[in-house]
Amino acid sequence: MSRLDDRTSLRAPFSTGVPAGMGRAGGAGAPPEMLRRDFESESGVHIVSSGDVSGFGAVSGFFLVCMTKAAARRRRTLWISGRAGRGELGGLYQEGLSQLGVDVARLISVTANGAGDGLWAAEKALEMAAVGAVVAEIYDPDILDLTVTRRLALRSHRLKVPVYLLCPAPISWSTAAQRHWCVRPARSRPYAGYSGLLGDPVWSVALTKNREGRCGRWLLGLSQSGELFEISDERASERSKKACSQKEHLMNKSELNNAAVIPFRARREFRPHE
Amino acid sequence: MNERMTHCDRRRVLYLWLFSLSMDRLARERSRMVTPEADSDEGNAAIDREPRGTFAKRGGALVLDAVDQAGQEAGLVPGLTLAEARMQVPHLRVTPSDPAADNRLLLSLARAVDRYTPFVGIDQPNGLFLDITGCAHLFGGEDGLVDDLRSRFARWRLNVRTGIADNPGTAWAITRHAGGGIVPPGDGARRLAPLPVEALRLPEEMAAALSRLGLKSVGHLRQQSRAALTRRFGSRLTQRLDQAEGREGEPIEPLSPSPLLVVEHRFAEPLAEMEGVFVALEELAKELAGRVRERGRGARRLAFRLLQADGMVHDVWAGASESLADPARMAALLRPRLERLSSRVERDSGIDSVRLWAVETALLNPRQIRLDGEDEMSADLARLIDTLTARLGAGSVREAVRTDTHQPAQSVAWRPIEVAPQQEARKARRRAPGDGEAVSPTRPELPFLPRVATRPIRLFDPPERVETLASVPDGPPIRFVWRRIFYHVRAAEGPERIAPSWWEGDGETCDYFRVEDQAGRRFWMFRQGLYGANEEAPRWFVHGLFA
Repeated sequence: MSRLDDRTSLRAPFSTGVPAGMGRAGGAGAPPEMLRRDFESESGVHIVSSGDVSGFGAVSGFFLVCMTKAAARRRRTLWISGRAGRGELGGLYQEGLSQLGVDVARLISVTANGAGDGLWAAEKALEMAAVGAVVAEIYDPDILDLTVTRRLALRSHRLKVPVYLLCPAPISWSTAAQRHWCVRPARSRPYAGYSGLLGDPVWSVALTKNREGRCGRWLLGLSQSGELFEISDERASERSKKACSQKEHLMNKSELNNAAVIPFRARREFRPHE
Repeated sequence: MNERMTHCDRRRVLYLWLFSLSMDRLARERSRMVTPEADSDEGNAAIDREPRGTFAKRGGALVLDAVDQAGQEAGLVPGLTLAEARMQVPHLRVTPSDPAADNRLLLSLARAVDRYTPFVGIDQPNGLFLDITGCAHLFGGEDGLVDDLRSRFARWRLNVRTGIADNPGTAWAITRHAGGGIVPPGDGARRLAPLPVEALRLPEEMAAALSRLGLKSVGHLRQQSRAALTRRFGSRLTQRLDQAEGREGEPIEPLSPSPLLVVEHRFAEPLAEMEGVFVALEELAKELAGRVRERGRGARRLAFRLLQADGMVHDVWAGASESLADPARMAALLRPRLERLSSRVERDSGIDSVRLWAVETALLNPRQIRLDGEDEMSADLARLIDTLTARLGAGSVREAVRTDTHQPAQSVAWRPIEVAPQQEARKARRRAPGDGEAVSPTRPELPFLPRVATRPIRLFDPPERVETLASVPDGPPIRFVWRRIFYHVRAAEGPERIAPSWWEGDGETCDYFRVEDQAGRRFWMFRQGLYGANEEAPRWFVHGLFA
C-alpha cells in the first residue's frame, strides 16, 4: 500500500526548483512557468537545440537539469544516441551526470546505428509503460522534417510519453514540435573573490517556438542547490525581446499556413560525406 | 550380455574426408550460377569434362593447389607449378584457391552433420571427426549411418570418403590411407600394421626421416623399442602411435558445446516458403518452453538453426534480458531475424529441418502479481530491451555502472542492461544522490567557495587533439583551436593531475583543466606530458564538455 502512495506522490506535480513567482521577464511570460510546463508535459515533441556542436554540452546540461526534476524520477528515461553522432558530440559521462544531480540508474542508453534506427527506437520506446520519457540526440537535424516530427508527436500524444529531441544546430523550419528551445552557454558569474575561476553554469535560453503561448528569451543560472533562477540582464533582454517577437511572428505565421496542408520538403541535396 | 556391454562401452569414431573439397565447392558454385533450364545441355557437359584446378602463390611461384578428377586423369598433381601444368594440359582451367571459402563450407558441413551426433570436430583443412558412440543404432547400425551419410553428401555433390574405427587416429589412417571402411571393434591395431608411417599423422619431415631409416610401415615402427624411438624422434611419434592404438585417449574438441535442451523438427519435403518455418518455430518454442519450465529455468540465449537441403546451414541467435519461458516471446525474438534471412533462404534450396535450442539458461524468476503494476513495468522494460537489442545489436542498450578507477577514460562504464525483478525493486528504492551540501571553507580569510562540478557531462572517446597557446608552461591555455575554430579562454581552473595507475605500466601523466571561453562554453582539457620532461612538447586534448 505504501508503494501505491509512493506512486501517487511521484505523479503529483513536481517543481522545477524555481518558486512560481520568482521568474519574471517583461511581458514574455515567466520562464520557470514555461519550463515547468514543458518538462512536466505528459506528451508531445520538444526540440532543444544548441547553436553549434561546442554548445552541445550546455544543451545536455540544461536539459538534464530540467529533466531530473521531472519525468526521470517517475520511470526510466531512454536516451538514444547515434553511433556517428557519439564521436562528434561525445558520450554521456556518468560521473559528470551524478555531480549534476542526475540519477543515472534511471537512464537507459541506446546506441543506434543511424538516424533511422534512432527514430525507430524512439517510437518503440514510446509504447512501453516502463519508459517515462524518450530523449534522442539527433546529430543531423535535417531529418527532423514535418513528417518525422508529426509522426512522433501523434504517437507521443496517444501514448502520453514526451519525446525530447536534442540537436546541435538550431531548427528554423516548421516541425510538429510543441516548443523549440534554443540553449546557448553564457558567461558564468564568478564567485566573489575568485574572479579568475569558473562560476556556476549559466545558460541563455530562447524559446523560439511555442504552440501554447508566447516566445521569449531568458538568462538562467543554476544555483548551488540545483535550482534554476533567472538572471536579470536589462540590456540583453531589450535586444532579445525585439528579435524574439519578430521570430515568433514568423514561426507562428508559418505554422498557421501549414495547419491545413502538410507540405513535403524538397528533396535533400546529395551530400557525398553522408 | 557381457559382450554387448563392452560393445556399447567402446568408443566409435567416424572420420569424414572431403578429399576434393575446393573443387567440389567450385563445382557447386558453378552449378548455382547455371540456370536450371540449361542443366542437360551437351555444352555444359563438355565444359564439365575439362580439367580444372586451383592455384595459390607459394614462395613467388604459382603452384597448383587442387586438381579435379579430369585433371588427375590427365596426369596433373597438386604441387606442380602452374606453368608446368599448363604445358602438360594446355586447356586446363584454373581459378585462385580460396581457403576462407573452403573453410566456410567445411564449417557449414560440420554443423550440418550434427544431425548424426552432437560431437563433431573439425580436422583442418578438409576433414571432420564424428564421435558416433551410441548413435549408430538410430540409423540402422554403422552401415546404415554410412549409407545415409554418403547419399546425403552425394546429393550435396561433395566427394567424401569415410572410415569408422575405435579412435580418431585409426579412423583417420583407415580413411586416408586404406580407402576407408568400417574397422570392427578391437581390430584397429591389425588393420593399421601394413599402412605407411604417414598414416600416423606425423609431420612430413619426420615421416621422410623414418622411411629413410627403412621404417616404412606402422608394423615396422611397432617392432622398434619405444625408448629408442622417443630418443630419436621425440615424444610426438610415440604419442601418435599410442593414440592410434587406443592406449592414449584423444578427445574430439566439439565445434559447439552440446546444448542441454534441443528440439528439432524435420520436414517431410524441403520447404521453400518461410511461412512454414515460422509455424514450425512456434511449435518448437512451445515445446522448448515446456521443457525449460519443467526444470524451473528459462532461456537466456536462444539459437535457431535452418538446415538446408543442399547442406548449407543458417543460424540465428537471440538473447533475452531475463530468463524466458514464454513461447510467444521466444518466437517473437527470433522472428525478425528469420525474416531478414528469408529472401536468401527462399532463393537457395529448401529447408530440410529446423532446430531450436537454449544455448544458455538461467533460473526462472517467478513473479508475484502486485497491485501497483511494478512487475508489469519490469516485464515491459525487458520486452523493450529485447526488441531494441534484436535490431540494434548486442550491447547497444546499456545502463551506467560505477567503476572503481580514477582514470576518466576507463570509468565510463555503460554495461549491457539486464533486468531482474529484484534489481528493479532495489533501484526503485534508491534515492537520487543528495546534492547541495557545502564543503567547509578551508581558509577562513577567503570567502566561501561552493562545490562545483569537476567532471564534464559529455566525454569524447578518444580525446580530441587541440592546438594551444599557453601563457606559462604549466598553466592553462589562453587560446586554442578545436575542430578548426578558435576559442579564447576567459577563466580556467586546474590543474588536476591524473596519472595512470602504477600497476598498469608507464603512461603519461595528464594535467586536467576546466576551461571557460569568452562565450561561456566549458571544456575539460588536459595536457599530456610535462614541459621539459621530454624532447617533444606536451600535447593538448579536449576530453569533454561541461554543462
